[in-house]
Amino acid sequence: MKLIKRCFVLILVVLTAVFLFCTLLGPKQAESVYENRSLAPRPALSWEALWSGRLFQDWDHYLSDHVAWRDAILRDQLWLRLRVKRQTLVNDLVLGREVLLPYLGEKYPEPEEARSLGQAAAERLVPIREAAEAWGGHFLYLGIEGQSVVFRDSYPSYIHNHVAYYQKLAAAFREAAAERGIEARYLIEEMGEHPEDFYSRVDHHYNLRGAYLAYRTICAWSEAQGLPVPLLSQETLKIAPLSNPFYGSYNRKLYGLSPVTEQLLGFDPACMPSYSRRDNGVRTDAPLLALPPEGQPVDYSAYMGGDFGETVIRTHRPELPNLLIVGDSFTNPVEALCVGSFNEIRSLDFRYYRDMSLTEYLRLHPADLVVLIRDSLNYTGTEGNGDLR
Amino acid sequence: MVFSSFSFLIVFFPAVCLCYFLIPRRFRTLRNLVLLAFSLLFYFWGEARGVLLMLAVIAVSYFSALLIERAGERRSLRRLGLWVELLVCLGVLGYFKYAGLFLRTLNSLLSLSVSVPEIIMPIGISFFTFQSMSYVFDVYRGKVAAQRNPLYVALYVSLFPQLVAGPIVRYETIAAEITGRQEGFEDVYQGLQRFIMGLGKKLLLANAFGAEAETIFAMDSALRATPTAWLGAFLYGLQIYFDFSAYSDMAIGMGRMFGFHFLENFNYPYTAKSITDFWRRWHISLSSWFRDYVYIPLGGNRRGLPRQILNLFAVWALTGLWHGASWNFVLWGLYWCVLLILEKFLLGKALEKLPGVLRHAYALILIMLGWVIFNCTELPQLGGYLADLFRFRGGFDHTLLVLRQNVPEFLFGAALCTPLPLRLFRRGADKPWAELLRCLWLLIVLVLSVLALTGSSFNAFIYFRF
Repeated sequence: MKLIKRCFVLILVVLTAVFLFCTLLGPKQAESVYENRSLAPRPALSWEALWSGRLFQDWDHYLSDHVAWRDAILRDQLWLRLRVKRQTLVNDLVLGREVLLPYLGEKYPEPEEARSLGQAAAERLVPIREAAEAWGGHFLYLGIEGQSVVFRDSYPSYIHNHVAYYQKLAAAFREAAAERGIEARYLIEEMGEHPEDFYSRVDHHYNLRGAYLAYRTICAWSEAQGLPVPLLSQETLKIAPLSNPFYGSYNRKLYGLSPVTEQLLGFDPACMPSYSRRDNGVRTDAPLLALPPEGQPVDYSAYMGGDFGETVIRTHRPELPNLLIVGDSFTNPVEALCVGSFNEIRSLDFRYYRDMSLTEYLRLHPADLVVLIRDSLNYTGTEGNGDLR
Repeated sequence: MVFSSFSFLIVFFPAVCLCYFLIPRRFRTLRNLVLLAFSLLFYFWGEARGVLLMLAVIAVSYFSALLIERAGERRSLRRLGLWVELLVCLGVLGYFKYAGLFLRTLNSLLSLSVSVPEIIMPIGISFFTFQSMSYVFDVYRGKVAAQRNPLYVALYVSLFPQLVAGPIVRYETIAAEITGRQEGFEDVYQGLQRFIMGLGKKLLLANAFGAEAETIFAMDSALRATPTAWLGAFLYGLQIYFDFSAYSDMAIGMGRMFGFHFLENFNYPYTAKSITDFWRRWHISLSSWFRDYVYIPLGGNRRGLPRQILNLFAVWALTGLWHGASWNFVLWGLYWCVLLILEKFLLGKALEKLPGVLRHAYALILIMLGWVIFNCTELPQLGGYLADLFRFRGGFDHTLLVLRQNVPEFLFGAALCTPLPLRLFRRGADKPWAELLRCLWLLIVLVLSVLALTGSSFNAFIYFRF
């Protein structure tokens, strides 16, 4: 009996010692791939930090972030939640039918609020359209249905998909935009009976087929404005799954244990004309499709290399119109495809771009076509690209 | 520093144990000094500036007790010692914990605009002031002798296992053990077992219930269905029980490892069959503190019915206020007071005639209502939640989600609210195979706790705010 007790205590002592030494002396990561965030840096000693208690808080944080075998432990914990407890809600993700979806929580505004939000959002677009037209251009609002709305039926019955609210919001916005004469296209209308084919099942964006639809819509609209552009076909672009494992914004949170997997769709950049590119004012040779080495994971930032405040691409074909695209990461693959059809493509993402307002930008860089791309979950949002005045 | 953090588990606690157990047992004073040094470091880690305040309280308590003892029969001097202690401890509590509430209430009642200072409340202030006072009270009553060595008074008050979240240890409980304890391997073994069980309760149950309860309490009242509201109340009840009792388990376990025998703080409170029964089982160290140092000195039940009721109101208002500087806590205390008075003078006999199941149901529902009052610090929030509990608005979606997400937690949680698992755990106490199973079970709990700790950022002990 005493032997068992002694062994138990000895095991605990050894485990603790090994864990401590591996934590303190083991290799340290600067960031967590799965969590998509920087890990806490080693705290610096100072009297101020010591006396305020910040030093110890920082050490707590540092140890939590750098504990030995952290990724493996997190993966094991997730395995228990997925396989043993069979949870349907994990790390703020809902495991829907063959799709990963965001958990939207229990709180949402009253439907009455949707109408006023929709009207306010449409009203904010009026000066943008006026500025675009004042400098000889045209303005288009391109609405993309949110991934969670498209896959709304995949939510388990006991988890809110909030689709009623978002649809009400979208309807209010569309009505208000039409009343104000805002020219708009809503991509869902182009997607036929199976819109889910145009969306990722492991990421909150559309897939490249959805982006292609957006690109095609912009080209068609350009032609309708009397500015015809060459349209690259899907065959020319050779849209096909990449061989790299895809870390979408959702499945990356599942530490490789996602029950749903998918390959990111790529295209052949060779079909594009030669171009010059500047990101945030700096000349770059960054490709339109930035692929990691074979076997390494790829994520949505492969398109255009991720988000930038300002990107300017010139294809040096003055016979073609100039395009300005505004929006968040939904614009990235569209920008890449538009290189094949426009002379100059400018892209602004007001989550990062701080130099001037959109109206001022249009004054300095008039464009023939101005396209604002928004997803339906953010039609009425006021942050980032939600308020461009 | 919380016990359920890597800083504590893999750095602080191993360091204490290493330094402590490397010193031979015969060097008792040195072992005590190690404990004291680490206890002060423990507090410094969480509340660097509060250490000086705690040391000041300890110093006052030390000298007050000495003054009381040396005063002998001179009552005025004895009272002076007592009053100094009371003034300092209650003054510290009043300033750091209640000044803000007092000024805000004054502003609100008299339409004044007195500026409310931003006072940071030191962690565990309610615990170390109450322990200090109980020490001086006991010396005053002649129950214990004043401690001559100030370092031992400091050790008693600041002993890290119970410093920031209790249980409130009476000096008399550990007075002899400070200098004369005989910690052995069995103490270490038993203490570790208790500590791991506490760690598991905190990380595997309390945190899981807490995350769900927090979501429900944060919901917009207009969206909270009645089943969800009741589920939230029960989840919070489970969270606070497993959180607080886990902390007590860990404190008792660590105390045991170092040779101290703290008294139990919980006795399966959710098996109570009445509110009176519940308060005999819940936070025993606090309720007995108020009984011995407030209720009985006020006259208890010896001065007639009206005075007894008045005493009960005073004790329960203070009990409520002890839990937090907010009026909902006073309301919470008075809620228990009314129920206890009703049971004592009106319902007691009738309750005893009811079947056990109904008495359990009666007690549980009232206890959970009490937790709703406790958790809603704003009165409008409380009103909204109570309305949701009784407005009979249907909707089981969220309830179903919570139940599906936490099946093992509910099963183990429900079982651990009863003495059954402990009886099973102790079965075959003298059989090697039973011991082996116990050890394996504890290792599993430990591994799961480490998994949960790594995966969880929701890790603040509720009782730290007291």
